[in-house]
Amino acid sequence: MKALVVLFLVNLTALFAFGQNATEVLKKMDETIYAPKDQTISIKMTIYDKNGKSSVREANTLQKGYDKRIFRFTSPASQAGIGILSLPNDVMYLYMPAYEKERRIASSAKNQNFAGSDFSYDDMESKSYAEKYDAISLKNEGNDYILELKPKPTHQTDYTKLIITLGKDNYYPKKVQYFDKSNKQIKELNNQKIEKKGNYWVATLFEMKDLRKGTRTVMEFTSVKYDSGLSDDEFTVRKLVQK
Amino acid sequence: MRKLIVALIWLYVINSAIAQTDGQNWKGYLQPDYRVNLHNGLWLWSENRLTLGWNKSFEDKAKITTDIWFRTLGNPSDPNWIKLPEVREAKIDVYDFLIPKLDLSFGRQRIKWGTADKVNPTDNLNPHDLEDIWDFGRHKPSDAVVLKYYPDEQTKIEGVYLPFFQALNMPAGVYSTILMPDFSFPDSMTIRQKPGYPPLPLPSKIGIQVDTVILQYINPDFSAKNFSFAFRLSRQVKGIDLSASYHYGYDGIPVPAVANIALDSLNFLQNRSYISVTTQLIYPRLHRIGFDIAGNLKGLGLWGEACLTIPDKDYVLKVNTPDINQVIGIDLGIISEVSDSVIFRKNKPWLKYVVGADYTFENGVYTNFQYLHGFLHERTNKELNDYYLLRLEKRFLNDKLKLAPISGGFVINDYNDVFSNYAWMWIPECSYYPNDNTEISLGVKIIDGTGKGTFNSLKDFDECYIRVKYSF
Repeated sequence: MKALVVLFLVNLTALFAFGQNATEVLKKMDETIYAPKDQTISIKMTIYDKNGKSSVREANTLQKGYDKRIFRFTSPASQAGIGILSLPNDVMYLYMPAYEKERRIASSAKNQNFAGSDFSYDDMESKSYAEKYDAISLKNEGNDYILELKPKPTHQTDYTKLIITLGKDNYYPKKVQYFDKSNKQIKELNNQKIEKKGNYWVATLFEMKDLRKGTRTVMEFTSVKYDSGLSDDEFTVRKLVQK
Repeated sequence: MRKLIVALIWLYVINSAIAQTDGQNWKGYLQPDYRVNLHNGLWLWSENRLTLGWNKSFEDKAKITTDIWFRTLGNPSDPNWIKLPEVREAKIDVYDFLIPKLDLSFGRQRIKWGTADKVNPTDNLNPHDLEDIWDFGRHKPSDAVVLKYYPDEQTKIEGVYLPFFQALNMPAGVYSTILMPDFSFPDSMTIRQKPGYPPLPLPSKIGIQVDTVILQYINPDFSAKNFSFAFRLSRQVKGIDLSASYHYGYDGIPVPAVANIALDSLNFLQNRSYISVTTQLIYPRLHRIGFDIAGNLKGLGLWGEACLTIPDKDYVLKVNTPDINQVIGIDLGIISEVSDSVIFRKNKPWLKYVVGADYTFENGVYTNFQYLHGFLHERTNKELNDYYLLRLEKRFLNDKLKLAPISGGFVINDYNDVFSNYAWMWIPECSYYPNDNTEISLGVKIIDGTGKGTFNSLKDFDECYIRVKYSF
C-alpha cells in the first residue's frame, strides 16, 4: 500500500513537473516570437487557390509587444486601406474605407478567413499563444520540441488542438498544426527562412495551408524594422482611420 | 455625354501630371447599376457611377482628401441624364493641431456617428441622401469644421461646427414620392357669418377636395447665424465602446409651415368645393441627444443606438383660408376657417432606436439581425414604425462567391392590427468576385404588404438588379 502511495506521489510530481515544463517552453516560445519591443513590417501575401492560381496582396503592419497590432492593406485597389486594429481584451476593429468608419469585429467572426487568405482573423490577432492556449504535453524529437496546446475555456476558437514544432536552440516555431473538433488536422503553418536578425529570431516567410480546401497563402516579410520606438498612440482607432 | 468625356479627359491630364509624385494616391471605382421592374419590365433605375478620389499625406502631420462622383442617372433619352460632377469629399486633416492629440478636419466631409449597421439614429450631422432609397445610410457630405481630441487611448471628444444648412436629397425617379411627407388636409372647411349680416342658410362646414398642391421650400438664409453644432464623447470601457452625443441643427426633411388655400370652385349644394393649396415648407431645428454602445458577448457582436429628438419650438401649420365673399362677388360676411395643425410639439420628443447583433457560425454563415424603431424619415411618436431586419450570407469558392439567400425585413405599422398594417421585403443577392477588384452583384427585391407605410407603397416596384463594381 505504501509503495502504491509513493508511486502515485512520484507520478503526480512527474506530471506536475512535466506540465510545468511544457508551460515554460510555451512561455519561452512566446518570449522569442514577441522579443522585439516593436516591429514595422511590410508584407507580400500571395494567395493560391487549389488550382495553383494566385493573387497578390500587399500590406503594412505595426506590432508592439504581445498584444497590439495594426495591419493595413496597400493593394490591390479593392482592398487598399482596409485595416485591422488588434488590442487587448479581445478588442478588434475593422476599418473599411468604403464604410468610412471603424467597426468592432465580433469574436465569432475571428475564425473566418481574413481577406480571402488562409489566415483567419484569429491567426492575425495579436495575442500570445500562452494567453489563448494551455500547454498540454511536450515531446522531445531530435533538435525539436513538440508542444501540444489546447484552447483556454475563455478563448473562442474553432481549433481544438495545436501541435507546434519548435527548435530547441531558439524556441522559434517551425511548424504549427491546427486540429478541429473531430481531431482532424485542418491547417498547417510552416515558418520558413528562420534567421537571427540582430538580437531577434524571426521567420520572414510563412506558408499557411488549408488542408480542407487545398489552398495556401504565402506571407513574406519584404522589410522588417525592430525597436523603432513606436508609441502606443500608433495602436489606436485614431490611427486606424487616419491613414 | 460630352460633359462627361471632357471631365474624364481633364481628370486624366491632372492624374498624368501629378500621379508620380510621392505620397499621393488616386483611387476610385466604376459602378454601373441597372434595375428593372418585375411587374411590367420598365427600367426603374439606370446609373453609371465613376468615383475618383485623390489624397495626399504629409507624413503624420496632415492629409488632403478629395472624392468626386461623375454619374449618368435615369433614362438616356432624358436631357437631364447626366448629372453634374459632385464633390463628395474635399477636406484637409491637420493632426496634432495646436496641441498634441487634437485633430482638425476642415472642408466637405462625411461625419459618421453611430455603431449600428447602416441605419443609425444618431447619424444626423450630414443630411440623408435618399436619392437611391435602397442605399440606406447614404448621406450627403457637409461642409464642416471638426475637432477631435484624444485625451487617452480609450477616449475621444469631438466637436463639430456646420456653418451652412443643407437639405436632404429626396428619392429620385420612380421613387420620388415614396418618402414625401404627408401633407393631408382636413376634408372640410368651417364657415360662419360675421354678426350684422343677413343670415343665410349656410351649412356649418363645406367639404373640400385638394385639386393641386404647390410646395415652396423655404431654405434658411445663407447666413452665419444659421449654423449647427454637435459634440460627442466616446470611450472604451472594458472592451465596450460607449458614446454620448448632442446635436443642435436643422432637420433635412422639411415640415409644412403655412398653407395658403385658393378656391378653384365653390359648391354649397353638393357640399364639395375644390381648392389649390400652396404650402410653404420650412426646415425645423431640433435638439438631438444620442447614445450608442457596441461590444462583444460570447462571440456575438452586439450594438445599440438611440436618439432622442426634441423640437426647439412648437411647429404649427397655419392655414390661410380664401375670402369666400370675394369668390362670390358679394360681401355676405362669410368667414371660412380651417384649424391650424400641430406638426411638432416642443414637449413631445420622440425616441428612435436600434438594437442589433451579428454572429458568424463555424460553417462560415454570417447572420445579422437588427430591430429598428423609427426609420430614417419618420418623425414624432405616432409615425415611428418597427422594422425587423435580417441578413444571412455565406461565402463559397474561396471567397469568390457570396450568397445572401435571406436578406430583408418585416415592418409593423400597427401592433393592434398587424395583419392590416405590415410590409415585408425579401432581397436575396448573389455576388461574384471574378478577380480582386471586381464585384458583380445580382439580386431581386420582392416587397409586399398592406395598409399605410413607406414600404407598402413599394410593392409595385419589385425588381431585379445587376450591379458591377470595379475598383482601381
